[in-house]
Amino acid sequence: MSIYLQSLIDGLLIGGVYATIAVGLSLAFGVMRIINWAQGELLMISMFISYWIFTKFGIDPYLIIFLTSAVMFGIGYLLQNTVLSNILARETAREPVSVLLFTAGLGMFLSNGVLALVGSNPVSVITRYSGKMIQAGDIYISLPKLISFVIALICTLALYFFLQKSEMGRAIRATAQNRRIATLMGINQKKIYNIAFGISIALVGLSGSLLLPYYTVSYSIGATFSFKSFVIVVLGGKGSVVGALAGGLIVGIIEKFGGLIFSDTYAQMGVFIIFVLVLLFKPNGLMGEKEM
Amino acid sequence: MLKIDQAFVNYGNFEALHGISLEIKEGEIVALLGGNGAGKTTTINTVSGTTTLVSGDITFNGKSMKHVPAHERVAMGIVQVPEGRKLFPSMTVYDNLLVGSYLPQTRKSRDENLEMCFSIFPKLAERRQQLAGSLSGGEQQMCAISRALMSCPKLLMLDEPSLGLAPVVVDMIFDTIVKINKLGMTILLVEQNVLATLDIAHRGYVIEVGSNVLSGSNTELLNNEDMRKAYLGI
Ligand SMILES: Nc1ncnc2c1ncn2[C@@H]1O[C@H](COP(=O)(O)OP(=O)(O)OP(=O)(O)O)[C@@H](O)[C@H]1O
Ligand SMILES: [Mg+2]
Repeated sequence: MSIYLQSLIDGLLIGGVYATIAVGLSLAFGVMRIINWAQGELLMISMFISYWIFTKFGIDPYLIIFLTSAVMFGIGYLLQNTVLSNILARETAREPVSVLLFTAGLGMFLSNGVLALVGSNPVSVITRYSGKMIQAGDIYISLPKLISFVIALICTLALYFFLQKSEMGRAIRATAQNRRIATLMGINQKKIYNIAFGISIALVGLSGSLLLPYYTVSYSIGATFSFKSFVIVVLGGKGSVVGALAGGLIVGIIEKFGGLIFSDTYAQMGVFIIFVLVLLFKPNGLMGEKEM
Repeated sequence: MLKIDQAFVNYGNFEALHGISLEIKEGEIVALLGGNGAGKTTTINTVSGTTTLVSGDITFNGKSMKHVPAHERVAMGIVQVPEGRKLFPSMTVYDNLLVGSYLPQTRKSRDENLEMCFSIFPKLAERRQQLAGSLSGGEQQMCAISRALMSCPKLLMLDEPSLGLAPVVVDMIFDTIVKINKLGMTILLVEQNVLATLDIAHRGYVIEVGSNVLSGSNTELLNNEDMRKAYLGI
């Protein structure tokens, strides 16, 4: 019995970080109708930045989150302010296609760039708390996973309240619902897009630092994470923060249970099968396409 | 206050406005009348800046709006209640109103404005926590007007506020427009409900397929032969 409970907890812990990555994807989609194929590769970049700072300066990855989220916010903001906004301005369709191609290209560029610069060797870090476990009965909880989960959860909830309660958050939600009408309220669309995309990429930056203490990074991990994030976003309902949170936890649990019952490879296939089933039977996600 | 001078507007290759001109003085209620597809919505969207002027000019208090982006025009006091209300459906009534006062300079008078809206439309106060998408048509129009009032308009443009509403509700909305005008707001009222509109407007313009055809005071328009034939069926 306890082996199942163990998987459940492991699944939840990793799912929390998946959720944070997916929330970013969902926000960009909800507000800008952009599907960011480079989400996973940007995560990989953030993990390498964290790795580099950790090995160079010995700063704890959990302190690096401030830096990576800020830097990645800046990258997202600038990317939208310069490149994306220009591509978007030429698009008339509400769900822009050339932005999709751009982000897919960016993803490939980033993974190949890392391959060329640092090679294909996977790297990981050993911290003070690597391998530390909290024991509760027969259950072992990995300390770094627990810390990462808690930070991921806090940040996701903070984003939720920011969107619900702040002036900027309301403006972001209004833009997501109808950008022309939001303009008629005096809301500067470009600014909102810059900030929303900045936040989206900041969440990836944060998640990269949160994963590093227990996850091996190499140039090629991006695609897996992009795909997982899509599954989560579709599962939770496009554009919904709470949905993405739930979706992330569900995918984490499915992976761990799939790994326990079958094997990790089959677990990944299980995630894909669920993705297809949701697309077929609940295309608006388990929670429907509701508010952010 | 507002002057539209020979406005030309295109949608792709289609020319929707072929030189519309119109003037509104401070304190007036001006009607903009015309049949379906005449270009009324296009005209006010061009004033709001969500549709771009190809040639001609729009000046607001003497300043050309040509290079002023749409969101900055709201800050100058040019506010519209869009055709079909267009609330943010999955936000509450209250959040819709707060979005209306998103701009920092309007936040200062947020509480007063909320109070004003709730006293004009007591029903909205009861429904403030309800999702805007679940309001009735009349309530949605009240919410849309209130949302616009939250933006502290100097010029308030209403695009067919009577559309699809029951006669009693239409009367109430038109009474409200007069009330709002008395509070000092200048009004551009786009309508197809000609009689009710000319009843409250000081002056009016009639446009057809993107061009001006008539203009004058409400009595002039009401007594005009062509007007009576085309719009009043008399
Ligand atoms: N986004 C658009 N793309 C292409 N053509 C448009 C667009 N919007 C309006 N038009 C066309 O421009 C013309 C004027 O439309 P507009 O909506 O301004 O008319 P209107 O007077 O507001 O009509 P109604 O009373 O039906 O609302 C119409 O022929 C319409 O088909
Ligand atoms: Mg119209």
